[in-house]
Amino acid sequence: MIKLHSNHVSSRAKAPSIYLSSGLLFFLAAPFIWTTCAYAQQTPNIAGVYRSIANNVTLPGDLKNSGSPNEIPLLPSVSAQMKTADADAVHKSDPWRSCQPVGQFRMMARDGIVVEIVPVKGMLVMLYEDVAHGLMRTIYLNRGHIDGPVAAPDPNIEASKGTWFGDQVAKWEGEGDKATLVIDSTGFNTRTWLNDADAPHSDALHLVERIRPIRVGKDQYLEYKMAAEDPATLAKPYTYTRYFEKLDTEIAENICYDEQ
Amino acid sequence: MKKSLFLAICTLSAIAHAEPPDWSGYYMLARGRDLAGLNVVNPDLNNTVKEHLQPWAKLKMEATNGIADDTGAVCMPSGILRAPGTPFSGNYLFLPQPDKIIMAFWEANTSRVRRIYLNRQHPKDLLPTWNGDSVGRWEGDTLVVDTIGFNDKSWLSADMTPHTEETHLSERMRQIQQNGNTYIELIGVVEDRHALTSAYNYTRYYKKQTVEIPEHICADEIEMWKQWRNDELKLQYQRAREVK
Repeated sequence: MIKLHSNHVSSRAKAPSIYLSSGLLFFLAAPFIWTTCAYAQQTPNIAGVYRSIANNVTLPGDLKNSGSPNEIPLLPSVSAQMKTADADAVHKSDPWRSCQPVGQFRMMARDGIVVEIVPVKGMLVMLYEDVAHGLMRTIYLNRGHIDGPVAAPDPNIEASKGTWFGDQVAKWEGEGDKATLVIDSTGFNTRTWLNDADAPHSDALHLVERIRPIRVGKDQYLEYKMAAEDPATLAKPYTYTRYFEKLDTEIAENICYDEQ
Repeated sequence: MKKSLFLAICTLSAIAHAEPPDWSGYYMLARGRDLAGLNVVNPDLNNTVKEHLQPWAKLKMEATNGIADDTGAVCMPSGILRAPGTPFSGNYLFLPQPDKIIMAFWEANTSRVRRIYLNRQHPKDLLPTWNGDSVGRWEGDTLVVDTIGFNDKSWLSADMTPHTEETHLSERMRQIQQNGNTYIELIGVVEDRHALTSAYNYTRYYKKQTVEIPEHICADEIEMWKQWRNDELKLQYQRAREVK
């Protein structure tokens, strides 16, 4: 009887310490639980710094880059026009040489580009290590495309019909391992080229990027597909694929020196 | 029932996790009516800096051509030190992440992107860069930022006021509500024992915008700026020949 009483008292005395240690454990684990909750409730977390793998690299599972902006199927009239152009003048006018933005279709295909994906409330920002050529992309998750002219960057500048990077909106499709971020871009100006050979595009250019986080062994990658359609310059829509490995490094300062 | 329990655990963990305040958004340097009730300290950065220059730095400033030597005008970086002195170069997207605060400037070619690391100290062997190396920490609701490792190619203000690699920038940022708007208050202190006689300070307010950040392409204006710069360089060359 006494023994039972003694046990009873002991278990009651232990109770507060159990609650205390459980509470402490919960607080310690809170960041991990919070991250899990954020993942489960929302969408895959693709924040981080990534680098595109080289075209001669094959990842386990036979995953490798395919396609290239240099292989786009141009309309015969556009190819003919390009052949008559002065090659030297064309080379000199390449936006790449003068540290100007080259547009996402050409930029994302390059070997070894480093880009940081930064998600915040309602938007996703893509910041390129090579700021001059990639600049920054603002991709909106909370709205569809804007109808009409795109807002002017400055009150002193007229509203533009199109911009260098277009109006970029995105949404997540699918769940879990199949979740894919789909970025839809329209409303471009015609200042950028589609490839290194001066292939032009019209303001009807429509780009769709599909980004899916994948695991290859222990490493995290992004599978990236870029599709372009432009009835004024392309004979048919064209898609290329790239793989980006997640890096555990900081983005370094990168300066472009104008060759002009 | 399971879903409610999951949500309850998630809510509790979010409270316990104590995420830093979400200041994310697009901010522009506040001017005019937007500054009502706010105390902008040293609004004229040009004069403030000039009053603190050492004699050699003043001489260098006087010998510097405001057009020919302005890297920012030809889409090269211009650094962050002069940003508080000009209306547009200080506009930014504030992008908080768990391990760093990113400030992506509207004038991406010149002011570029600034990353303030919250999880480390300054590296020992720091290579000088245009925007330096920034580390930060939260003191309550204030973000305290320390930046060193600047190169000496940029200017402290639009008047081409020079500085050295010894420049040290200390900043305190906090979010405030005023006039029905949200602002980031930024208090900056700049020290440079080789270029300045003493430290100078300033306070600026950046208003959170309800519009999206527009695209800014330096290349849209670069031909005009290059022409201006080339004209100035030609003038300098002619003057040098005349002196000879």
